[in-house]
Amino acid sequence: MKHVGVDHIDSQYFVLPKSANDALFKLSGWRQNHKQMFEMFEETAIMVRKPFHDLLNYLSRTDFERPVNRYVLYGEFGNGKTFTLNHFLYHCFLNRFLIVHCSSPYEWVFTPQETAQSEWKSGRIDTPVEATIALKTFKDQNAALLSELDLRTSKKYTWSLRETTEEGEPLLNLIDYGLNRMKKASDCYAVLLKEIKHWANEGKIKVSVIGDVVNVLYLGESKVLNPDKTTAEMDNITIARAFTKMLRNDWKNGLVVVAVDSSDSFRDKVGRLTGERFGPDLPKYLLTEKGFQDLDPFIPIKVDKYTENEFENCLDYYIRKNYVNHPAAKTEMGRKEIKFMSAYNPLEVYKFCWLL
Amino acid sequence: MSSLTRRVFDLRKAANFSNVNCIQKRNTVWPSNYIKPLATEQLTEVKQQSPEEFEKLKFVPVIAAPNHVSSSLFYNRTFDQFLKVIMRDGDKWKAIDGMRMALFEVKRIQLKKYRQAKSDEERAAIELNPLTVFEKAIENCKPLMITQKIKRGGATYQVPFPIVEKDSTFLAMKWLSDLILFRPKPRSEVFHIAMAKEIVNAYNNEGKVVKKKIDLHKLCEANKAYAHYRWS
Repeated sequence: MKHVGVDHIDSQYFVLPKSANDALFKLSGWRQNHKQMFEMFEETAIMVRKPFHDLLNYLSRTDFERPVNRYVLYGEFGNGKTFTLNHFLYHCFLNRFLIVHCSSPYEWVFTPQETAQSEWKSGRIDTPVEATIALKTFKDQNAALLSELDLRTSKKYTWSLRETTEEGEPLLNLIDYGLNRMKKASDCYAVLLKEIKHWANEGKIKVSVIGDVVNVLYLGESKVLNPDKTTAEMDNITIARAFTKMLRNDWKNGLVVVAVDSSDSFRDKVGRLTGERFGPDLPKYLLTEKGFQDLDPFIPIKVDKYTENEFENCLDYYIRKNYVNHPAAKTEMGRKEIKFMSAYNPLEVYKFCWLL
Repeated sequence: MSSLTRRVFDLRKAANFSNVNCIQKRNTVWPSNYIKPLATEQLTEVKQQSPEEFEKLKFVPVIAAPNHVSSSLFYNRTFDQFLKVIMRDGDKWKAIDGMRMALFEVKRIQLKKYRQAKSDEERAAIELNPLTVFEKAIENCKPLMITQKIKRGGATYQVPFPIVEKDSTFLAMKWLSDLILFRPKPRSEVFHIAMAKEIVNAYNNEGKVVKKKIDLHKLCEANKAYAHYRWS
């Protein structure tokens, strides 16, 4: 398979074009502190690192006629899993993949803004706001491709007595329906993913499913309450259920890239600096038994801390962008101290430079 | 001994014994054969320059190092002192995290100004190092004089007093920390943003803390007729 846009130099910064950043990561994708950083540097710069090249390597050797390959990114908190995912998402965008992106599933299952009971099936719970955001994200990310491919629904869907989506209607109509009728947005998202799976199986499109922190979807119980005040299971939340179905390998013409991450609140700063691990970072532990069964077999890809070269480039970039101004930080001893204190962890390097 | 008399006593003592060593010897708990502590880097320097002296140093007893000393290149004394003032319930990490976030916010505010500046001269005038901004802000908040209550003939007077460097630094820090910690409720801004704004204001000689200092100076100026109550 031939790729577009792979002329990046290893361990150098690559600037994401502003138009692409607006199209892909307008509603989700970057966290608050990432946005703060990009606002400060006036550009969206991502370092090209080994896990990204690993993914490209695997992608170029993929046979799309076989069931989808699952790639699981893992590594310590702050090592750049989200950055790698988003960089790869941009690569998929260039290579005309249909993108299904979920950047914050914890919002779906832990802190939804509204909840409602599903009208489709009793016991299910809808999260209208999160579903609308997911639909809008999908529409933004695939706007050009959707109008070009002219995908149509394969079945007739009846939403209520008067509202139906006929067979052979464009998928864009389905999305617009969900966006206009917030009450039905969750079901709409589930139907949309079902349709995508169908067309991928037919061989009309290639799909890349990208999910961050997916291990929260396998934790068992969510924090959403049922009408009888008991906590709902993860599988009973409509959009979470629909998304986890996409992670299985019962379809073809696609790929699944997910990242797993432990909760950072359990981590101890001093422990990380001294090299001790607080809680394992490995996917088998984080995914739990259920998630591991769902995702097995998968290809693990480790996102490691900075190498010597990467660290130097990172600090050079910070100095060039006036982010680091302390005179001592520009000396060799200062660099040594930053290296020692941050333990080569990208996030810790960034945080250590707050005061410099 | 009241604080006032102690202060006067201190001042007299400083005037009489201008030789600093003399005072230190009186209060020190360390015998005279103890030497001052040396950092690792200083020791290696000594080792390179004169190995004989280094051999001697091995068997000389050493004074305990002060708590605040650090060999980090990024260590800042003012910042460290301020942490001790703002810390509550012995929660040092909370104080450190809050202040680090505040100074990061300061950097963001200054960087924003830097981007918006149009000429090179403007850009050169903007200080981007948050620690320098913080030091300058504290410097701007330091009062030169204070007033103390003194009772004379049934009336209390606010009498202007001179203030030593250490105390004025403490007062500036106390004012700044109290202003942010006890800001009125409901609080519209979180700690680190409120603190950052106040620091930048103080850096530009504006804001509530600087105003408090100026008001105090005005009071001292107005009450200079009572100055003789200090000694009579």
